[in-house]
Amino acid sequence: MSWQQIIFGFFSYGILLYSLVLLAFYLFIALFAIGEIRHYLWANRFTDYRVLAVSSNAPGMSILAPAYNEAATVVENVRSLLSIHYNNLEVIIINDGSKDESLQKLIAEYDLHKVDFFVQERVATKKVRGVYKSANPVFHKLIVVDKENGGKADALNVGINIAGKPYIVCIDVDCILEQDALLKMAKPFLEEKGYRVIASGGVVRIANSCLIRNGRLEKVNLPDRFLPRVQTLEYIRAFLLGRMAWSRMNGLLLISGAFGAFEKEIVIACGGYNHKTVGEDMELVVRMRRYMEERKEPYKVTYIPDPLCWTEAPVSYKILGRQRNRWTRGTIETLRFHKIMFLNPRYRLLGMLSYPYWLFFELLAPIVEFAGIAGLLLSALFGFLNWSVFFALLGFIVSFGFLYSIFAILMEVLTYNQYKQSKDILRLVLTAILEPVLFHPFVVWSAIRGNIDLLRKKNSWGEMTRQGFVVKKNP
Amino acid sequence: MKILVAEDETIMLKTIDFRLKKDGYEVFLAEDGQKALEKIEELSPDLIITDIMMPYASGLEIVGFVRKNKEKRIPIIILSAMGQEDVVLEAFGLGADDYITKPFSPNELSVRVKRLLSVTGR
Amino acid sequence: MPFLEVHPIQYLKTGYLVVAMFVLLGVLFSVVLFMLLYLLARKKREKQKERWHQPVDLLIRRAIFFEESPDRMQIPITPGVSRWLKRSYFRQFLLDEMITAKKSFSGNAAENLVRLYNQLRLERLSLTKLSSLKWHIRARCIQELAAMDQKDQVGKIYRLTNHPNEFIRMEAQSAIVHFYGFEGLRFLDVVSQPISEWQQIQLLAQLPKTLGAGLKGMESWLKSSNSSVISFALKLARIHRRFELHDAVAGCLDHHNPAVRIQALKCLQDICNETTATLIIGRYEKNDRLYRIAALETLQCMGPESAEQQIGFLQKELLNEDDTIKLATARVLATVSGRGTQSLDDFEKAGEYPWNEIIRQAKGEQTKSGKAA
Repeated sequence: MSWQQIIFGFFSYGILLYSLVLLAFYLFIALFAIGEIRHYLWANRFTDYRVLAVSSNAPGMSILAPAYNEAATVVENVRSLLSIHYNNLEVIIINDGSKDESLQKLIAEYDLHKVDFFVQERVATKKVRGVYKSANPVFHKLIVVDKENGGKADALNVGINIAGKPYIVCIDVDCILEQDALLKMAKPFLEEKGYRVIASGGVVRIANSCLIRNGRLEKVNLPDRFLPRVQTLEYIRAFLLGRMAWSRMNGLLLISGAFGAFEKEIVIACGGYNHKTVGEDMELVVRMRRYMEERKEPYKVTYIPDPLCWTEAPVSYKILGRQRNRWTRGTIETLRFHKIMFLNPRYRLLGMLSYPYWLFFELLAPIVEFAGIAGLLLSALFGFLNWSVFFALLGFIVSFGFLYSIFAILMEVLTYNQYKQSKDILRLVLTAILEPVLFHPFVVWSAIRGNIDLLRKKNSWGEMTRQGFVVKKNP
Repeated sequence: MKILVAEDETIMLKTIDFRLKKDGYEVFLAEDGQKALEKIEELSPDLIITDIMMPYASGLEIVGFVRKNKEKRIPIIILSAMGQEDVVLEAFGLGADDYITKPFSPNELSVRVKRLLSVTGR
Repeated sequence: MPFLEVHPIQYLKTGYLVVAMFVLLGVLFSVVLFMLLYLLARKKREKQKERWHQPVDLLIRRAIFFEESPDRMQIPITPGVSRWLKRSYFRQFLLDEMITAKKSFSGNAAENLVRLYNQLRLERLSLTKLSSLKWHIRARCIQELAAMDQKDQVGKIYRLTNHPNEFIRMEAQSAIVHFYGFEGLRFLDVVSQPISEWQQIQLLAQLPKTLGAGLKGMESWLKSSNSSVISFALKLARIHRRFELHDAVAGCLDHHNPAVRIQALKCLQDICNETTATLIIGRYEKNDRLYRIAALETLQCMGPESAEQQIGFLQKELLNEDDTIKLATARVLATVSGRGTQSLDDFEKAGEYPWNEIIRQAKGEQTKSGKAA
């Protein structure tokens, strides 16, 4: 037996085993998600959320929205945040040292004045320049904070220091929230299940091509362009299947930075957002969970599958590449900070399943895939490759991937059905077919680039230039 | 007499419309806060009935807007499911003239409208 | 290592893989086909609903303004609607619309909607659902019966107030409270499971806004072994300003559950008398940070007379190392014009950070709220 054979055999066995476990996970996630979503829909279909809106016992919530150079849309977005249905609410906009007119526009529009405000530094942050409130009593829920630029995590930490309510809701300022979003997010914190709910995640949906009027979603449309459309599919798959299944097992590690609610005291006890990583959203959840595990307190991170938050997805490969590159680096950094949990029974499901899953199947997947392709090319070169087996295997894997995507679309149709035309569903199916060729390789490549960049210690955030929503006046 | 009703629930809107028309008023409807503000500019109504929780602009914003920008003192009735003390106080603080909490009786609404219009009409 | 001599992929017969692939593709096509048919059916239903909307709205409006007279004992139903009424899907649609309307109306209008429900014998629709095996259908049905004031069914519903399924239990509890108001709260005497905060909010929403004669048993609820019952009773006492329960509520300040203690503080804020401040502050030292902050907030809301009793204590707390407590203390002092604000000005460290900023904020908020009131 030659050394090539040993290496090659090891290699193929490894990849085969890896693929089998991955396929098993996918099957398991799909099945688990069905049960969880069905239960959620059954339990909440007859819920009257307005009762919470009109109750004086609703828990207080602070919305934290960091804004950096958002002058184009910030006034409108604040207005839409202020019209959210929730009474015990404060809306905190953190101007993270914008270089444009964001702050001036807000001051002019909402009649803001600097107030005496003692900012308690419960989490260390960059310097706060001033706190503004409106002289118009109609906008008494609004607080605008001006601070020196320090990045998103730092801005959120300032928000945490200023927030006066027991729950914080962290969002991207350019997200569009449904008006009952907070009512739905608040519910899990009020339920009595014998554990403490420390955080609640929301779904993020893609708003490209949707009709937006005055900062509010008027009509949902499937994105016209391929790139946002394929991300729509990707988000449906991740949120409706993946997160749902993980939340059922209480193994959720990531709450999207675009929309999540947290118990403030625990966030502060953990030290707030970590500004040393570009994946601050995931890192916070992992740290909060670790904190609870180490104190052996029963807790849960819940997740709301209703489409409550809409955001614009990147439309160019360049910006998408930066975003994925950043996600990869964030994941690696987070897992590295908390490597003590890896296969550590002290952290129960978190250490034994969630962490290893993320390590092997979120983080390593692109690397394994990349290595697999490289190995394939090599073996073709050496003449090892049995082409008919190869094509059969490829065909099988690709059809499995399709089926998983189609299943996600089916779940969407049967639950929230945001895209009501048969035409749209067919376009999504077509997108699923094109994805392995036009989208997937690019995502893998961006992830590899993320790994490389991290090795080279690149720590910038990957600036995201925005295209702006389709704004139409009503006819 | 022109009355503007702002309310996002269709059944409510139509019912109030029906009741007030029966009383002989000219009734205009707006199904969200933004449209209500536009119609206030356009029609300059004699009385406004508004819900609080509405898309785009809340009823409280409407009260604030009318009291700040309108010379004419237009009576405003808030009609909302929100009965929390702080909200009611806030509404009156902003200059609302009456506050009715849902569930409400359409007949009672009709009486209150009549009373407000006769008081300010004098 | 003999197993390495054979390449693993050779075990996989190409044929099997191809068959598996075609099976997957077959499933895939059937799913797509199913989705398309499903969407078609759904669209048809939506269109139908749209057609129904206008006549249903009209019927509901007619019901709301119905006035009984000797020659008009029944709400008139148009032939179109009576034809559709044979279909259970339409009946459910109508019922849903009626329930939405019922939530917004009171008085005659609400009674007339119940009259329409009875006239159309819609309770038959609800009752078939009550015997369903699926919990979510039963829970929803209880909600419908309650919304339509179907008190006749109370026997069936009362039994469900301790049902093992939490959703059925919650709806049954809400329904009983909806039917009987404060008297419906009797189940609190025996309830064994915790009543979630969410459910407490639902129950409070079902209760009348003004206090009738029916509220009895508060004293025993405040001593319940179920902390969620105590918490609920504290909310009730606060909303209805039950001053006579002051001492029983103050007793909850020593409860072992910290959440109950905080709830008791909030309640005391609205039913306080001249002894309350001493009771609250007397327990200050032995409690944790959350209690302390809540106690100071309570003191701030209780009015200057109560706060004035504690000026000595407050001056001491200004030196507390926790900034949140410093701020809360300064806020209380700022409510007491004269002695309180004076003690802020005279405070030895009033010029130093962070006290300078804290005092400025506390005073600023006070003048602002003073202006608003």
